[in-house]
Amino acid sequence: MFSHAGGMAAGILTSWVRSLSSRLPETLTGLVASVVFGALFLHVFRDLLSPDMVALAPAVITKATWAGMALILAGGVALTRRAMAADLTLGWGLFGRLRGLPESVASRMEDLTRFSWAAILGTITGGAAVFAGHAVLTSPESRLAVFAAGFFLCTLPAFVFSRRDGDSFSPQQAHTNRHLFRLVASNSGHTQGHAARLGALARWRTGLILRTPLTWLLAAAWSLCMAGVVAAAAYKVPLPFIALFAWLGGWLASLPLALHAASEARELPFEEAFGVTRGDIARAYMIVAAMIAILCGITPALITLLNREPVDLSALTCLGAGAMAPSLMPFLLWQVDARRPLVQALTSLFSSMFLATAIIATKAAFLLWPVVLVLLAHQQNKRILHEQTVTTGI
Amino acid sequence: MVERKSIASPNLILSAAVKAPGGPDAARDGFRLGPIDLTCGGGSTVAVLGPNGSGKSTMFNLVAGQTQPDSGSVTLSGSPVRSMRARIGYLPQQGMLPPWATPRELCDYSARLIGATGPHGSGLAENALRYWDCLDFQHSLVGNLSTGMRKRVGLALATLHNPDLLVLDEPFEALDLGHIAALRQEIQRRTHAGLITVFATHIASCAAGLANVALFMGNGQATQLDWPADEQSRIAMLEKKFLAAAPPPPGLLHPDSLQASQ
Repeated sequence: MFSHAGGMAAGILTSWVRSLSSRLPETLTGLVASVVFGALFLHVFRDLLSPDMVALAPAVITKATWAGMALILAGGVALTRRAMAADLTLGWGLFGRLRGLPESVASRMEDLTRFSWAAILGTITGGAAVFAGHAVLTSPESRLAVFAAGFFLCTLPAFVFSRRDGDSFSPQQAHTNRHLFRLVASNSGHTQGHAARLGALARWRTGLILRTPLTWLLAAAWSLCMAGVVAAAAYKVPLPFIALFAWLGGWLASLPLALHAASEARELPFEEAFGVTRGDIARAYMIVAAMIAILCGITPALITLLNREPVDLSALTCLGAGAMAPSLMPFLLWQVDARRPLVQALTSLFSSMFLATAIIATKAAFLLWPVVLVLLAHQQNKRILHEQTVTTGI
Repeated sequence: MVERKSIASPNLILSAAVKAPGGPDAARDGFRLGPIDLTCGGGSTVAVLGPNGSGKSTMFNLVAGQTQPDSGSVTLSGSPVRSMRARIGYLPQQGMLPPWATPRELCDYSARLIGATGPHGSGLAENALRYWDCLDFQHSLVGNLSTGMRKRVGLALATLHNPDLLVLDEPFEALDLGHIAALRQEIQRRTHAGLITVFATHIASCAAGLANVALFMGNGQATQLDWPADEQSRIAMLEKKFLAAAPPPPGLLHPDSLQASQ
């Protein structure tokens, strides 16, 4: 069993290393850029936050720790559920049939493998929750209880969900939610003008993005971040922490764009057969991103505005931090490779983190925002034009 | 199938069109399409045949305006095809339909993209879905459909606006007999209506029965066949040409044995 799992892990690792080494220059560039951005962020943010960190009330730290543990447990359960849906036991069934084992024995081995995977993930989740909560879990009993909770919550999916039943991330398990789609995507008068056509393209994408279950998962994560904004604002936590929640929420809300663009970029968009250009499609993404940016900027700004006394310009900082990642995302989609959403996720993470940190540090950094957007748009337009004339894939 | 005002007499002209799929530099790796010369008037139905990897799909991308030629030109009624895409219907070989949309939504949306809104757009979508027998699954997500069903949805989208030029890359693949008959009927209707259809197929009888122009592709070069009037002679010509261009592995059917059996 362990040799099977080990072989599988080695296979995944080998293919990953091979995939990275085949694009060595890009990988190295990405790594170096990530390290530079990360170090810069840590340097700026540490200096900025150190005095604020000290000023935090112990009660807030305790609540944040409990919330962190709850998040780790919830994440562990979700991950295990996904793993149970991923048919990790197929190898055992094949092995059993090749060895001529009876069907019942092969099936038992499959169940054992599933439970082993769940147990491994449960151990990791429980351990991570205990580690994250070491500040509040003072007694051995409390640590054991949290570990046991993590372990059992994660092993539960192995019994509850049958193989592939839990996979709600494919159309096979999805509901069409026709009414919502019609409301968002089909609500149009005419499409004769260029602007109207762009509107139709943007609405269509919004409808499809809203239909994807992963979007709702990310929306749930965004709402958690907004809950964080509310809690931080209510507890009068220093502004950088509120802005941090706002930025993280904005980044999470921008990810569906990258995921949807990746699914489109693997094939020629079917709209091209109707005269739609790739520039139009890129502009449609900008419209969708603008809507997300407005939502992600205004929500934390309003929350902050309602909770800060006396009213000051801190809401503006939250607006900038929240809207940063969604505003950058459509200008990053075609910079490297639209088919790889992880690239977009990382580039938007680092670039928005950098700019949001600058805005938190000084409002003068707002001036940087349009400059960056113009530069990115210019670069991306050249890239789209190049692809349109030379290659067959977007 | 769908009534729409078309260009009086469309014509498709490929003039010394050359394309290397990965860009001009990729020609160094060996494959390059063209130069291809072809002139088709209204009512032309062009069958494109050839072994796998001979450049059919690359040529179809050119003809449908999805890519531009490295040199030469591809025009529809005097304008570059790239600027005429609203008058072109294209069914690529590989599906490109979003899995999260339903056939009905796709057709309604496509109708809006060509400027047909309201009852007119709905009518176009309804007609296309009905003709291609998609009404039973019009509200299912594309991701849940079988390959044949997706092909029919692709055909509905390609023929929705009754385009002047219809480009079908291996349209018969994955269709059942009933829907093959429907496709044959649609191609014949277009021929009689004076519209241009270009399709690729590996089924000799489909090419022989439907096309009035036949192109044979080999190593990126296209040869226009001297098409006999008789359908059986056309099939024999195609089989002979095909087996000569791509000889079967030893022990399988050989051109000589085919000739002997005839």
